Amino acid sequence: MTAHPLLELKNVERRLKIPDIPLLCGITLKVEKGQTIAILGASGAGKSTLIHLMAGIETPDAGNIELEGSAFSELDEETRTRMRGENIGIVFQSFLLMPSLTALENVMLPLILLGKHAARSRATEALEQVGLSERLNHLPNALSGGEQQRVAIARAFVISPKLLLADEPTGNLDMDTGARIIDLLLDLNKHLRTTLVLVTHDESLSRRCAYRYLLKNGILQEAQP
Amino acid sequence: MPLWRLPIYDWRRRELRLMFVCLLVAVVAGSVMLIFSQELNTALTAHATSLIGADLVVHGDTSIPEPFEVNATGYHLQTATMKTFPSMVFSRNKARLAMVEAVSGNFPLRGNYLVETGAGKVSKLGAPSSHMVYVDEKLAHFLNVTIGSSVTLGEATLTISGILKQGPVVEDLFSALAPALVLNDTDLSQTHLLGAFAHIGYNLYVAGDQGDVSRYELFTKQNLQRGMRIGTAGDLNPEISHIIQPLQRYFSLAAMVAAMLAAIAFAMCANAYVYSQRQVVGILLALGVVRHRILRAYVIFFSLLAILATLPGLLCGYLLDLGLTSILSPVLGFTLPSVNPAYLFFTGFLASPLLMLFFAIPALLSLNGWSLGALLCKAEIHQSGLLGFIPGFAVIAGVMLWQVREVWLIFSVSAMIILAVFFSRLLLIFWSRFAFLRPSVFSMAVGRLKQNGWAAGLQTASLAIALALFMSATLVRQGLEKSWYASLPADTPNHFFIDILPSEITSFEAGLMKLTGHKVFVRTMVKARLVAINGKPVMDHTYTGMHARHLANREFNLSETTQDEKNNLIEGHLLMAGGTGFSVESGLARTLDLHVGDWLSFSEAGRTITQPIVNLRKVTWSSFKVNFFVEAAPGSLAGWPYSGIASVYIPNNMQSKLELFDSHYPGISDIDVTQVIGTLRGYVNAVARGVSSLSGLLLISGVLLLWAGIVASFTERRRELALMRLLGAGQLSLLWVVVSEFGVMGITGGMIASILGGGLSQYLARMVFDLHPQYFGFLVLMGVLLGIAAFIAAGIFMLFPLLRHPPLVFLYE
Repeated sequence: MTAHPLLELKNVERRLKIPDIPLLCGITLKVEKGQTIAILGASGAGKSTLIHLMAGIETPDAGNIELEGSAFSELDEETRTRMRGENIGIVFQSFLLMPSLTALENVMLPLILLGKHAARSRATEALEQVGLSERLNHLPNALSGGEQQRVAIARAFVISPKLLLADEPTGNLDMDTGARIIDLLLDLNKHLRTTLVLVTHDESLSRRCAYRYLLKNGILQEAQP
Repeated sequence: MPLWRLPIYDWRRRELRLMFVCLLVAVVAGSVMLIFSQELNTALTAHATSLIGADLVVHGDTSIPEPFEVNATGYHLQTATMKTFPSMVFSRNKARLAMVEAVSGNFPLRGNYLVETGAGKVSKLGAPSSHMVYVDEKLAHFLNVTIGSSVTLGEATLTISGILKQGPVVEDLFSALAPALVLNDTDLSQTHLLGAFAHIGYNLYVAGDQGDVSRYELFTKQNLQRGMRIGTAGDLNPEISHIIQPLQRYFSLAAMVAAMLAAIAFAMCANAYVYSQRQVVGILLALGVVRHRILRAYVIFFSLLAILATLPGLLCGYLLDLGLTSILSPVLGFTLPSVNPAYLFFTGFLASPLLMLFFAIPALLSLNGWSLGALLCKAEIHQSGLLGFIPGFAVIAGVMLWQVREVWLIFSVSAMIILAVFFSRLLLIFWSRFAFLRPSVFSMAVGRLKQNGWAAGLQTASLAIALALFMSATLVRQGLEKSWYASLPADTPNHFFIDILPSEITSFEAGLMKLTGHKVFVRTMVKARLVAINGKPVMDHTYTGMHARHLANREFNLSETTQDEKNNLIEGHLLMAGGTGFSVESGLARTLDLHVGDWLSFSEAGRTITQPIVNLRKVTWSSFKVNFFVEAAPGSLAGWPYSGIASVYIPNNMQSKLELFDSHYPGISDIDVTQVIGTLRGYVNAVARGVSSLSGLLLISGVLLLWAGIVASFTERRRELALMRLLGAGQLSLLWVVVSEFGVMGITGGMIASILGGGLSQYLARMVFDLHPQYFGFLVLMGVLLGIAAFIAAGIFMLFPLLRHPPLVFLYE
């Protein structure tokens, strides 16, 4: 039996609806377990759309996406949502934390939604791993940008995802804080063997990943070393 | 481009549109509810005053002194007069004792006579013209006369112009049935009857502006002479007055709460809109626009919005009011006055700027506290809190005080709202702490309530108050339906026979037994006045209260009795044959401050009886059996002139036999109480329907508020639900989140509604109805269930589209 890649994009196309212009043209990409991949591109190149397609938030207009060999993109919304919750962690540029929940509750949220046990202890452990053991009961508005992003990272990996997607995770942070966040993501990859796909327009950050791709004019190609 | 035009380009924003809708709803609710409740109130008062034909009547056993009429004119009041006396009425070879009402040409001042003027044609008319009379159906039947026939009254021959169906009540509801003949008082002199009768009742009727009537009432009270008393619609039957007063307060309360709910809904939307403007404000500040200029721009824009929303709001309000009055008038059985457009416009344009000034401005003022740095980096910023709206609520309370003029009511409502909000907040904190003992979707949903505590508390408490009023209205309605007016046993006596001469008693009892098939006892009745209590003469000024003065000055009907039932005794011992003493009804004793052992002296036509009170007893007046305020031991009243009185149940199908029986006793008055009960029942049912309709509208306001609350947090909720979906939550999980949050709010709101509704209902039950306490268990359950159902239904209805929507479009808002 042939082992399937963790995630595989086959000739994926996506068009903007208004105006009707192609955004992604025949994207093909294999993401193997444990890899670290950086996707570079200018603003408006379609990087976030590509991440949404990988996460099953959006579906391609043509082509398909497989998650461990199953036709992920052809599943119905409800099934895709469930599979995303169980297998994929996502980190956004704008953190997207629940303002009414504390740091601990935010990290507990995906575990609770998936019906996992020991949510509190697992979330506490995740926050300790990202260095926020002293900030468990703080609301997001009482945390700095870097701390909020670390809560978002803890929330993403607390479910032990097979794939961690990070969409410009340092976009709202200063350079030093951003660098520390990338350190954290790579540490997680190293210790937990979590596959990481990082979208960024920062050339230097992308160099810290094993594989680098450039998205330009709707086409994904390997970036020059 | 002026800065104030900038938000116009923001029109597509949901918050702004919703703010407009809320303002519109607030105008409709604030003005129409107030106007409608006033209309209903006015109509009920008008209906009540039409029962006596005026706003106030001064009764006198002798001619009413001239200053009373002169002063009434001085107070800008209309006046009318009526003289009443019993007299024989003749037609060809038939004669019948009738109560004659000689009325001035402008009577009645309120309402009309309902008169049949042709075959099946019933008209609302004023007093009969000169040489014309109205006769009631019974008199027409006995005399075998119809419209156009002639009747003789004293020495005058008069023509019947109509058969009287219904007219203003004279003194009490029983005599309402006695006005067998109504004539214009210009014809009275031709009858030459006045000199011949000693017992003429004189009545001066007044009507006019409420304030003038009140001032005149005060003057009259200060100048009443012996044998005179004041009558109002409330005095007509104390039971009705007892119901009307709390209901009028209820209407005021409902209108006030509706306005408060509308204001809260508006404040929520205003706050949400201003908060949504933080990015725009940040950009303007960054571009160098000073804060007061930004603030001024928003105030101008909001003012224009207020005007824009007021116009359609008033139109909606006018149509709604028109619809309500046209729907309810036939149901209520009387016409509701149509809305006064000027008043509607006045209240609408008053409500709108007030709402804007006191509920939107505090939200706008919070702009001053926003730091530019926080605005630009989209950090959380301070929103206007509840305290900012306190002046707004104070102004609404002031407006209501102006309208309702009852300080305690305003205070009670304000205290009720504040306590309800605090209690809601406490309960929600309790639930959230409790829920987090075991982390779950439920606890996450409830955690949201903890963070939005005051807003959630306000929203929950507001709907709870609306629910409480709705539930208490249900109780009022059911209480009215269960009151004795509506639930008399089938065999309750429905005919009273009075003025039975001593010589007629034996044959009358025998005749009634033959008619009904069972023994009917005629009770003897002696008329006398209370002249002294414990040897102290009873004077006009002995009692200060109107009710007590009326009771003390009235002519008492005394009766002899051998009491054989201890059940009704409250204090003292039974009257015994051959013994002495009076038995006094407990209500009268309370009003006149009488106690067992006090000595009462009654006097009439030179005779006096002085005896001690030996017991106080409870009388069930609603039994419609013959009852007396004061009873004496058998033999005590020997030698006093007396007449007989009896009450009996006679089925409707025996009407012809009854008429034949009555014809043998032309001097005895047969009073059909069925008509009295029908009048009362119709009135009370109308009031009950009015209460239901008003409470229904109140509930709509409450639901609108709930809707506004959800709308105000719509963007935030959409983002949260999208985020949960992103993290893998299925539709069922999201549905459970919504159900959990709104279910907890529903339980909280339901509990508060039950407590408030229970308290209010207890008050109404104790003060108005004699209801059994077991009723309230059901009320509590109903409150909680209604609360849960209302909140969950509203939550799912509003948020259901979000449960199905892909999360992407909301992620980057």
